[in-house]
Amino acid sequence: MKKIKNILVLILVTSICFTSCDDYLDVNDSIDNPNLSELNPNQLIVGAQSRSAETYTNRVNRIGNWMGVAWSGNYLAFNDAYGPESRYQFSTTFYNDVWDNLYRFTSNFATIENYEDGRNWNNQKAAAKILKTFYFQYIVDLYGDAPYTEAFQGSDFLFPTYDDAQDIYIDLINTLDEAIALINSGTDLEPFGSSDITFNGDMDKWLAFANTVKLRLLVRLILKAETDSELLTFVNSKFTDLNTATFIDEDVVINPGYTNSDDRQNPFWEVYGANPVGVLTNQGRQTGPSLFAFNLLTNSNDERLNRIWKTNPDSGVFAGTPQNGNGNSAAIGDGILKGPDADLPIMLSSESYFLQAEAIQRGYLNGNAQSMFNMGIQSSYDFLGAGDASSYISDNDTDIDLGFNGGNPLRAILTQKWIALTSVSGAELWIEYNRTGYPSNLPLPENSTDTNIPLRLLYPASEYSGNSNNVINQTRSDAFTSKIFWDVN
Amino acid sequence: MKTKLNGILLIFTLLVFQFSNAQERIITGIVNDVNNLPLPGVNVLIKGTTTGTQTDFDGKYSLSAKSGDVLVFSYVGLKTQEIIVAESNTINISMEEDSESLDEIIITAVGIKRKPDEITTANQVVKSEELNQANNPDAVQALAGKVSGLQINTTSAGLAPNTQITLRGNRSISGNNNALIVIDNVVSTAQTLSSLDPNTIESLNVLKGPNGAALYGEQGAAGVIIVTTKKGSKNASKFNINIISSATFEEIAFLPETQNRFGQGWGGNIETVDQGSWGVPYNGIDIPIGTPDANGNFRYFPYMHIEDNILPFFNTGVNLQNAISISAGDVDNGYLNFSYLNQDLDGIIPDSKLTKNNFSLTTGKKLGKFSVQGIARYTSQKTEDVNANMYRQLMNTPGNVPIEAFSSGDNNDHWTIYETSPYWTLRNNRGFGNRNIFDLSAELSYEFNDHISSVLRSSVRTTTNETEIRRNAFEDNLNFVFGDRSIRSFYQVDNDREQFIYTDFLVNFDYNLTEDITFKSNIGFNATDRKYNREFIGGFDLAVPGLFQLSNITSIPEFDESNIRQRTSAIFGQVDLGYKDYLFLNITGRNDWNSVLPKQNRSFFYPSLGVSFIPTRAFENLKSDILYKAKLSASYVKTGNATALGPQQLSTVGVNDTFFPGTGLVPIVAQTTLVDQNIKPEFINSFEANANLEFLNRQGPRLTLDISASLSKNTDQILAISSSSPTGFFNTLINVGETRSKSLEIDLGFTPLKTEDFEFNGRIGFSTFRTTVEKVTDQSDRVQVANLGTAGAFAIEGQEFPQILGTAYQRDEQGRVVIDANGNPLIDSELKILGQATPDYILNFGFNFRYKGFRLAAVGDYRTGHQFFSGIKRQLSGQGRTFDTTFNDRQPFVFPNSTVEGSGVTNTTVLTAGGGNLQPLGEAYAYYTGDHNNIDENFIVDATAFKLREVSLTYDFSTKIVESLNLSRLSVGVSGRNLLTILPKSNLDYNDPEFAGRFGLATYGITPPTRYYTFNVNLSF
Repeated sequence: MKKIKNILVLILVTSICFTSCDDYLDVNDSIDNPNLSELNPNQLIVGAQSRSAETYTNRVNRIGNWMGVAWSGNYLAFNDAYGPESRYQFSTTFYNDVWDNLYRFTSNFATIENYEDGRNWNNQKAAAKILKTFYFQYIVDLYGDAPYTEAFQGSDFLFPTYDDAQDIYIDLINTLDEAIALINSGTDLEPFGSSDITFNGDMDKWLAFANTVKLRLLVRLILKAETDSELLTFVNSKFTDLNTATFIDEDVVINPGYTNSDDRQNPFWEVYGANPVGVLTNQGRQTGPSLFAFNLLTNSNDERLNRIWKTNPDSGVFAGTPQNGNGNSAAIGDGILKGPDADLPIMLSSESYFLQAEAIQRGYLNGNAQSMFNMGIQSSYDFLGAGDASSYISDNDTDIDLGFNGGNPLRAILTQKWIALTSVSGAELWIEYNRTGYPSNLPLPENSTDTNIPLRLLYPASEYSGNSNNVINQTRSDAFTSKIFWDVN
Repeated sequence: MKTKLNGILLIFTLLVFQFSNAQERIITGIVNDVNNLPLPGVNVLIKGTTTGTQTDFDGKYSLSAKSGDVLVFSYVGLKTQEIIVAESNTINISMEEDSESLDEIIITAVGIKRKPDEITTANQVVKSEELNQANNPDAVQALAGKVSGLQINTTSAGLAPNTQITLRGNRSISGNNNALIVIDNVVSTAQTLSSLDPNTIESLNVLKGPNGAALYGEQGAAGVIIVTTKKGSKNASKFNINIISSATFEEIAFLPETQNRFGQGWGGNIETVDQGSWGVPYNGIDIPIGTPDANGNFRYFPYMHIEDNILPFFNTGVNLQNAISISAGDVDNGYLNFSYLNQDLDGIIPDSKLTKNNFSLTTGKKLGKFSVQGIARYTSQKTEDVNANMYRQLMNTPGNVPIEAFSSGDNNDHWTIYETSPYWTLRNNRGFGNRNIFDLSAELSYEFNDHISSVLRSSVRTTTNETEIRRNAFEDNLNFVFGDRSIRSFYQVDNDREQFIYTDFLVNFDYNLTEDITFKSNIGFNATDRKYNREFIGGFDLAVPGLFQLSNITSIPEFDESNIRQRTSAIFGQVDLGYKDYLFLNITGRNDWNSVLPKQNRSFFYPSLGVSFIPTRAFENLKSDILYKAKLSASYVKTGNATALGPQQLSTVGVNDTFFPGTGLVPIVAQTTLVDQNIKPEFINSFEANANLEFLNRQGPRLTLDISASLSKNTDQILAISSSSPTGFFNTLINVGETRSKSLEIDLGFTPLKTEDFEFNGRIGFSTFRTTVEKVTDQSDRVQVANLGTAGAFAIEGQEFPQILGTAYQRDEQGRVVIDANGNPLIDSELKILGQATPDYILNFGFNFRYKGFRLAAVGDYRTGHQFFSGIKRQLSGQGRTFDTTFNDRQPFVFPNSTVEGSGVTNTTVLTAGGGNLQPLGEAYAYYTGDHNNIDENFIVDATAFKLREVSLTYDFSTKIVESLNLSRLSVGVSGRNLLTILPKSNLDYNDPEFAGRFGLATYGITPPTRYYTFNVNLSF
């Protein structure tokens, strides 16, 4: 009897526990951080913009400036300055963070695109589509085929398959059209407000930016399209839309509130400038102009020379060095390193003008190529604080590399774009060189046994460890032989 | 002969009786064993006195006693007998085997008491005397070598080394592999066990199989060590006091061997301010090294190799430990055990200190049907240490630099201008720690009747850590072109606290169903609640130098907090059925609820079934002098766990970067780790069979053989895999397919010699453990689970786990290394299997010699068949310090067994490290820091190791001396730990392979591996 009583007591105790068990265990919600799915586009777009731009201005910019032969090392001062770059040590860990971080940060734009709470976030979604396209273009330009349709979907596609690079390009152009349609459709929109650290909610500027990114994608496709009639039809139809479009006429910059404090400096300044108490960074100290770049500007009396570069504060040297060479070099100039709190440019208006100039020159867009060319140079002078460019333009007007009337306008447009985008959109220097072959005669690093400037980055280690069934196996030689699809040279 | 002798004795005793009626008289007799053979050396003592004797070679004794005296016959391994002296002057007895072990009750999971034979899994009990035989001041270290299959691995050095206790190696790929420590029935930690005075421990019961999980849940899946502390004292009427004092000295065991041909320099030239050893060959000529001294003069030293040149940086570590324990009373009358332990440690890194105090109080009493017990423990630990990895920093010293010449502590006084002076770091970058652990527990039991009882236990453990980082500023005013070495002052306060509440309630039933069948059952409930929070704040640029105060920070400080909450609950039950004394059946079931899992997968159930059978008792005629006892047991155990999944980890959250003042903006982006939203617990189904055989019983078995084999299948292992970045995440926690493991352990124990004065016993164990990956996921047959650079540990379908993969030379079908036209080896485009991280087998041994009061013990092991990736070798190679980098005197060479790409023939002409336009040493530098350093294959090292883990010598002073000093025990001892490590040729002391962990990836520890020498005194009164 007593036994039964005891068992009853036990059952009672356990049942009390179990009725409250479920509540007892409901302690797993995140305490310190907001759930991603509950962040509205305004909350997520600040970080998406600033962190993507950080990757762009530092790693993407750096590899481009190097492979585009604008930068070199301050070799005498630093043993092994830019060692892996100087020796072309292409491997699965060489700039692998470019891939990893471009994907990581652009995935936040994909999250914004898919956000639904019944309210109208079309403006934010349009901005997310434009910026996703802006950055994703570099994934394709630097790597070629890449996961796209199965990308940004977390555990739904843990092992995403690779899409054809050209297909991605076409979809990126279509995505920009979707963004443009979203902007044009808007009523009852959620205000963007201060979360838009690029255009402060000015949707006309987003439209212009979308058009300019689309122009860049299309210009990249031209030479390929001229060998592929189906693609040419697509390119022509998209250019037709652009004939009536506006493009950016001021630099696209972001600034979430950079200030001279730890982790809050302009990210380019943080790496190449100085820390908050003014100690110059070693990364900055090892960076200088390539001999090629220095000579190109010196020989043409380019006012920008003293803005892009400056006398090295350590050694007093103002010179370029050949890559993988030796000798002391100049340092990054004040037109680039404007300050720890300066705006961070992600696309200069000069690039917009040079893109228009090329499209016009190649006959895909209406307009005057030379005036676009001149505006491109002047706006570069403006960005760098180099004053009036008109005498520089006229003095070099018949130079084959630098002047519109030197006999090869395309060569001049691309070489001028190369100068204008140095240290800002470095990736364009490298990519456009591989697409067009300009600037002419870019030198290989000293003692290099390779026969050409690298054509691409290699798929990173994370793909070999995390997506081994899908990744395309590559060796170092692929960096020199495996062309990106638009490279028809 | 015998009868005649007895007759004489009878006459003799009768005569004595005449003289000493009711007085003392001579009692004689013969002591035989059960086989009627005389037993020499049996102690015969009159109870309550010190009068006694021993039997002679024929088993005979004689002593004087009076009627009513109680004679106590005792002998090691035999049952002690007490006989009251009556009229007879002859007392012949036959002594039986010590059946105490049969009746012995041991405490198993959640405090359930069982007889050893009823246990259906492999287990081993270590009693107080055995634990403390070498007076090791650390209870965890004292366990080393005393339990087969138990490994105590020190996986890091430093002030408070990280100690892992594992049983049967690593069972889970990702989850917890450390044995659960339970102290007085409350879940605890190895750290707490280390803080206990070993003298306060009554016994340890080590459950090796996964059966512990049935009652402790997931934490018990890798084995359980159940520690029972002493309750009261043997002599209840007085205070028993025990004091143990020890001094331990610690020194570096070994440093990596480095090349002795080329010194400080870069690119093939002497650079006397460089960290690399890429200079010209040593020539013995005096060269200026480093920066000028305070007077502006360069210091000249011969350009030649100095063996272990960083050794002078380190001190000999000294660890003084004192403990006192006081015990009194017993369970019925109330008892009290108190102990205090103090530790004062100076580490091998100068000015690194640890001070620890531990107080422990246990008290309880039985009152009728109630009994209560309370335990309170408090540990405080203060540490002060340099806040940087000095070992890593020091290994960047070229081989010709006498570091002690640069020990002024001024950062401008250094052998290189590329890094901070370690002597400056030592003095100016300091970490402080203050840890307090409060551990309170109470137990209330009630006996309803002889058959039913219940117990309620609860404990609260609170751990607080307060740490500070204090760094002074350094302004680089030498203005070298090469970079600014200025350092900003920094101060950070980092506090955390954890509270762990553990409660269980248990009802026990105990019935004899028939005369032969016993029934025991327990039903229990258990709940845990863990709460952790941490806040830190820190910033740069102190306004007043040296004032470490938050308000003295002038930069925008960095601050954050983190909070963790986890709760579990469980119900469990078990039934034990016994038939006679030789057949036992044990069934358990447990249902867990764990808050870390998704709601739909939160509840999971797992059962176990075990049988044990004692054939030597079931069939009496099986038992012989040779096979004395046999126990066979088998069990099937299923366990579930989610240990690889952390609390609050399930949600995909946004993480923020630094805020921007005045803008209201916080850049938030998605975190980098993703957890499968339907993640399930991992289940391990294991089948285990054990045979325990005892042979040749001569005062205890002289030979024992324990064999244990297990097969297990893990399903849905929870693994953090490196994911493809296009997913948007860098890592993903998923359930990964299936693995199968098998293990075999054979343990041979032997006691060839055992007399009162001399004993020799030993143990040799063989164990092997293999895990094979059956399936990864539906889409992938390979995942990476850990990495160090490009080298990583992988789970690969159909392969043993874990495999070490990394970049490797590209080879043709004939195995020749493919090189390009310039002699540079090509790197294979795929990661190659470079090694396996699990040893083929482990041989371990332990020996004990005892001669009178002297006891010598040694423990060691040997493991082989596995490899590891040495991060140290790679770093040394990059600095030009490995022997590999001196191949062919750093002159261009024909790469052995190579072929030029596309040639199809073995290369004999194309030179490697000579294809460019630099001078030869420059080419060598470029080659080794380039291609050579990018090929992980070059840094794979054989992980084979023989380790002599502990040798101890103890002397117990004889009873006479001890009593003359009014003591009850006095012993002194000396012991050494980690005394000898023998490594294979390919491991030139780069790493202790054990530091490579279970994934075979090794990098720098806080200090190089060390060895310890301990001197101790233990006295009781």
